[in-house]
Amino acid sequence: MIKTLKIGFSKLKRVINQFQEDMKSPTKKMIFRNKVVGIISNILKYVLVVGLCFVILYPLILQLAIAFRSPTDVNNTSILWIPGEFSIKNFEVAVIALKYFDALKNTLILSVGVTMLQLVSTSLAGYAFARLKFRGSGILFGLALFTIVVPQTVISLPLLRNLTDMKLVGKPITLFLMAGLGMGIKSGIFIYLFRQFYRGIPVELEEAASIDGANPFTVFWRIMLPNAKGAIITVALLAFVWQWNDYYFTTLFVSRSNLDFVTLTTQQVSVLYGLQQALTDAGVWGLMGQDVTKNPLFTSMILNTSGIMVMLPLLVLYFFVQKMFVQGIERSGIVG
Amino acid sequence: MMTKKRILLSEAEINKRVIKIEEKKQKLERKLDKYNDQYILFSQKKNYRRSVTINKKRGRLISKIQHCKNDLEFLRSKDVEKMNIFKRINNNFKRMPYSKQKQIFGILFVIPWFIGFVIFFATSLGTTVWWSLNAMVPKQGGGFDYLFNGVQNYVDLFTKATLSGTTVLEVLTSSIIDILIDLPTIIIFSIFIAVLLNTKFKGHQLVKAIFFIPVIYNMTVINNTMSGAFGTLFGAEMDAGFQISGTFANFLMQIGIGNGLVEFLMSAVDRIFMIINKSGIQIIMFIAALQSIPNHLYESAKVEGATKYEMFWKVTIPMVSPMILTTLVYTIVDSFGSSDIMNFLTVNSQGTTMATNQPGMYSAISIVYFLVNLLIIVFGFLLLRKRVFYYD
Repeated sequence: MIKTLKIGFSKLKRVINQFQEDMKSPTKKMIFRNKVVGIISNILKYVLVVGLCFVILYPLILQLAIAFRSPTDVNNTSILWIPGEFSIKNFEVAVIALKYFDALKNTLILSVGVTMLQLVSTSLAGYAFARLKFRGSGILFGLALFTIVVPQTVISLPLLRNLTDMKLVGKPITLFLMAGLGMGIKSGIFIYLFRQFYRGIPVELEEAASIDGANPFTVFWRIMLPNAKGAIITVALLAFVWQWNDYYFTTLFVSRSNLDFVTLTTQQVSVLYGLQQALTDAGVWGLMGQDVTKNPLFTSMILNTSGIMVMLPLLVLYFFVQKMFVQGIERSGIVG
Repeated sequence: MMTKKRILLSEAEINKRVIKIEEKKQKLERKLDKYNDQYILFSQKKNYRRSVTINKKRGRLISKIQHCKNDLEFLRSKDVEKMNIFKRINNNFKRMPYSKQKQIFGILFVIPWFIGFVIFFATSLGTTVWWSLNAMVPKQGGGFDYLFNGVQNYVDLFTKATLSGTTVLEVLTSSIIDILIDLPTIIIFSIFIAVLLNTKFKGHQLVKAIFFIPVIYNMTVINNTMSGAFGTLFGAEMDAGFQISGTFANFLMQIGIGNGLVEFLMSAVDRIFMIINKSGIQIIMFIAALQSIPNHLYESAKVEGATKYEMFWKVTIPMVSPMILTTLVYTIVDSFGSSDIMNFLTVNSQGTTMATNQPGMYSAISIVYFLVNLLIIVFGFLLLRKRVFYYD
């Protein structure tokens, strides 16, 4: 026993001696120091990253925790994060209050259509500003940048009146029209992104194609678009998400004058303003007693649940395209 | 001229050409008759020199007439391929030089955007400016009476208009201060995160995926969650855990670091959630910029013996500096929507009185706000312009 301890001790001593020996040589000292610094900075990095990830995911976790809480546990203070009993009753109520499937259908149609149209209009304009220069294109690009800087609120009121005159308000086609004509939600930014991207594609590619007899459209369709996958994915995802989450445009131009057309976000906001009425209309009282539904905490609970139901399809979509999205960004090389 | 090759023409064009050639033929034939007469005259006079020259001319004319005849024959035969207008345009287009083709396509590509710009943007902006210069009195039965009153709206804006007790000026200054705090924080934070995410470490794929989630967050929904009854309940629980930040602030105060700096830091810490959620796009932009930095720059820096810290300041920052300008603009524009001034403007489900009763005032507020933001952008631009480095 003592012998083995002694051996162990001598081994330790040798290691320490070795270490002290090593420290005398400057290069080894440097290597050691770098190693220590590396480990410490790595630990710091992970702590930071995990902390920030938590901050980002916090609302999501919060919503999930609330959504699965059973309505009977509303006032139960012993339950905070993990629900006492998992219940999907909140979801049932939220589906009714949101008119979920109707709204989902509308939102999908709107988002997909707007995304497609925005992609077409902005990629064409972006390509023209990047490569197909004509007299005055510089000024037009300046105007396109100007549309980014002017906030929507500045033009929304006259625009609403103009659209009313054109009898376009209250129909989703308004949003399609605006997207198709490059004036949708933040279209200016997309034009800018596409322009920057196309500028990064080498001119030699285009020249080679034109020597082989391709006209500018063929060059765009056959060479530029396939190479612009990264930018297309980025823009498509952003356009889709922004349309999905849009409240301002959709309410102003469609939902306010056409109450039948609801999207998830507009419905969520209107539920926020009149949940009790929505609950009454939807006949939730059949599911649970009035004493439960009148509780403000219950209101908050349903709001949260409807919130997560609004975001859920997006999150699922994101889960599938996330890898492509990240790669797309990395390859896009958009530089200002 | 004998045209043996097939030419592509429309039917109308063929008819036109036939008529033209026939006219020409008749003219030539008339001339030929004249020459024939002259020839006979000169040969009778035994003026051989002139008769020979005339004869030469005659020969040329005859051959010309023959050409016309051939052309006519060819045009009337089935050899001519008839084509529609589109094919002809295409044909003409193909003969153009490539640079001109590019210009034409450039115009074609921009047209949809330009139409939208004119219909939706330019006219509306013009109307807003016009409205802001008018006292708009609601008429009975809808519509407004326009009374031009110059900058009266703008004067009223700063002297009279209030919303729940706060004047426009107060709201404006507070929102400007908000932007000025958020702007550097967001940009520095997003550069930092982009650099962090750009390195490869265990699980960086997952972390990247999580960091882009704020892009798809619905801020209306998130804000409701955080400020709702349950959100505050959880928030209180969380705050108990974050007492440490308060202690840290006290510590900083005691060791004598400036009050303003501490306040700035504390407000930044308070806003950490908002800042992370606002900087999703900026992180994307910076990651893209970082990816486009050529690797040989780092390699040569390493050969020169630069440390990582030096490389960050001397290579990374200059290379992403153009993007700083872009994100600056984007951040300011993005903060329009969440600013307090929106409370004056938002057309919520109840419909504000401002939008329906005083469009003039509404326009004036929005224009003032826009100009203030433009000022910040221009200021930032001038500040950064000289420091931006373009690598080309």
